[in-house]
Amino acid sequence: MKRTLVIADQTVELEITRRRGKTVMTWDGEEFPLDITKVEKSSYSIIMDGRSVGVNVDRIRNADPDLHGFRSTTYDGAYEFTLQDPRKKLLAAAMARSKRSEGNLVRALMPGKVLKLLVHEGETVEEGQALLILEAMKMQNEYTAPTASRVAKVHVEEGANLEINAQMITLEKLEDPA
Amino acid sequence: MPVTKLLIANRGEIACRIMRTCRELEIPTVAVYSDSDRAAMHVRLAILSYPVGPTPARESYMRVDKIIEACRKTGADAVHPGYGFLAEDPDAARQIIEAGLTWVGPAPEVLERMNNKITAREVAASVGCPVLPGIQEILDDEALLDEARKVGYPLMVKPVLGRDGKGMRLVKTAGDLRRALPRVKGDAIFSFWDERVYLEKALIHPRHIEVQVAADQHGNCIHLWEREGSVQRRFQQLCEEAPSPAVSPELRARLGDLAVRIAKAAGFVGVGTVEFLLDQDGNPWFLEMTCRIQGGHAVTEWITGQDLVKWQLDIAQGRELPLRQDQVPLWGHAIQCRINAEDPDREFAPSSGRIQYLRSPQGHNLRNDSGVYFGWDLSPFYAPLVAKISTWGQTRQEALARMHSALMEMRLGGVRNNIAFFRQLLEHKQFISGDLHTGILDHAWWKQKAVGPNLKFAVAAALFDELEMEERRAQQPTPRSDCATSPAAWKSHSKFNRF
Repeated sequence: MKRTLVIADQTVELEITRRRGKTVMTWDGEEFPLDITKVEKSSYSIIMDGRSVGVNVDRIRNADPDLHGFRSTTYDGAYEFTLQDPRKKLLAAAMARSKRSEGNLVRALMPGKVLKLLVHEGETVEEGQALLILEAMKMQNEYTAPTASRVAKVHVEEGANLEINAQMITLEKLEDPA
Repeated sequence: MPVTKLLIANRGEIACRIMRTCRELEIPTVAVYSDSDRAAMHVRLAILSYPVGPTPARESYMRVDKIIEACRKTGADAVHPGYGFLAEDPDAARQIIEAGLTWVGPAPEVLERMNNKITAREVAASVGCPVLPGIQEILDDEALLDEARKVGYPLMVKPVLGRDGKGMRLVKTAGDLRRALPRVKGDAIFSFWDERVYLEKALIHPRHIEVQVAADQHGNCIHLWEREGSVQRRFQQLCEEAPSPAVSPELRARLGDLAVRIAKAAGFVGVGTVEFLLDQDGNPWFLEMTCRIQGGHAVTEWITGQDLVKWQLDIAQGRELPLRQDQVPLWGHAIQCRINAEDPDREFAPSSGRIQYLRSPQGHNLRNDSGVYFGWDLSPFYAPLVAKISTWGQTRQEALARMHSALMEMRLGGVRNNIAFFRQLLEHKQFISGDLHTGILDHAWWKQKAVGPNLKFAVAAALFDELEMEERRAQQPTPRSDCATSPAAWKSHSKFNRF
């Protein structure tokens, strides 16, 4: 499992894996074997490199649901930081890009499978109307029309497996009726 | 009059503290509680409990009629006010005495005399205690500004009926004073229903030294040495120790003598504290007298081996003091830290919320006075005090080292708190050397929240917590089959992203 750590102005790419009872944390590429056990509710005992430190973990609410806020307390004080799923970070960035581009071509932002096609060629759609559902990374992602449009071309069919950036639907922006 | 059942008109750690002594003395206790305190620790420790109203203290703990009603209903024949709330309220004391109950505290006239800072200053001056120059007359703002120029800045502006540091402001210039006056008056009306203020010359970097006194109904009055409470924020003590590293045996004798004379002149009976400021030349100046048990009393109990709540109950029942002045011991050194749910990095702003984790320190010569437990919700309506940790040592150095160790062990989760701050205080050179003054926390010299040496451990635990959560989530059945047939079903699904 990967996470991006943000503390103060520092960002660290993290990964934690658990295989055959061994837990390893990867900290910006460097591996740290962890002996970690939950000792009480929200409290962990960690032995890392021979050092034993007890850590109490509080989850703190963050305005952005994708940013998981934490306050971890050790004997030397409290550390406040956020952990974020880097996939969601990519998604958020891609989402921002697609919004900016205003393009008429709807592309897959992640590799995935077309779970459901909700429109057909020639149909007119309203702004925000769902076009298709792409299942990617165990999440169902709904793609919607950025503006009121006519569906000019559907490039995919239900059940298709798509690469990232694959063309899915071409839209024609409808002129304002005014 | 004997006390056969004691009602404690308070909550939190002080209510629990009083109940512990009552258990030893086999005096049944009555807890009173507000709506949000039904499950509070003091209710759980008491023999009997009685509800006194809504959460705001003024509508419950400070309602004397409710307290008297609780006594009637539960058969309590005495009231211990603890500190805060009704503790120094002469009207409350009077009503409780008039209801035929025993008031564990000084007489209402004494409370009136010493609550009023102007008459208290007069009492102190009458026995030859140095009193800081000040302006006690009630003047309009312009006249006050004129007088202030004569006394000279800096000055403290204080409510006449003030206590617990509420409303006090330090002013350095006439402009400061002009701005401060309406605010101090506003605070004074809000807290004490009285807008009178007075001015007192402010000392530069004074030390706060308070002498514990006790007086019985038979005219005996002694002192139990001093405490130093210079580590303050918002004029409220965070940490106290006894004896004070600044007090020589000669000064100790002088302070004790002054305190006893002031208590006697005030007609004081009970357990209280005469407070002084020590200027930079080590001269004491009268500050005020608090006529109640104090939050810092544990350090005095450590160095004298006495139980001051037992003393209060003995005095209230007309017994003589258990010790003469020459029998009061002074053993070693004690220090106490008040663990508050507050954020030292944000000007000690209070934090409220549920205690998600609590590990209290343990060990030799360590005491924990707490009124909370794991899972308890700290209400923003009350003081954010979680626990008072105190330690004793043969020497100051030993007491401090023990406290430092205790703070390393203590863990509090769910609320921001000052445990790490205290640890740094105990590592602070100025504090270690005993060179204290009341402005020691004016500038944040302690390390703010930052990246410390245990970051990897702190993060590893959070990362592991995330992993376990993700694994738990993966084990839950996914509603995929529904998705294919019914878009509406997975529209409401939480793992749903919209583009």
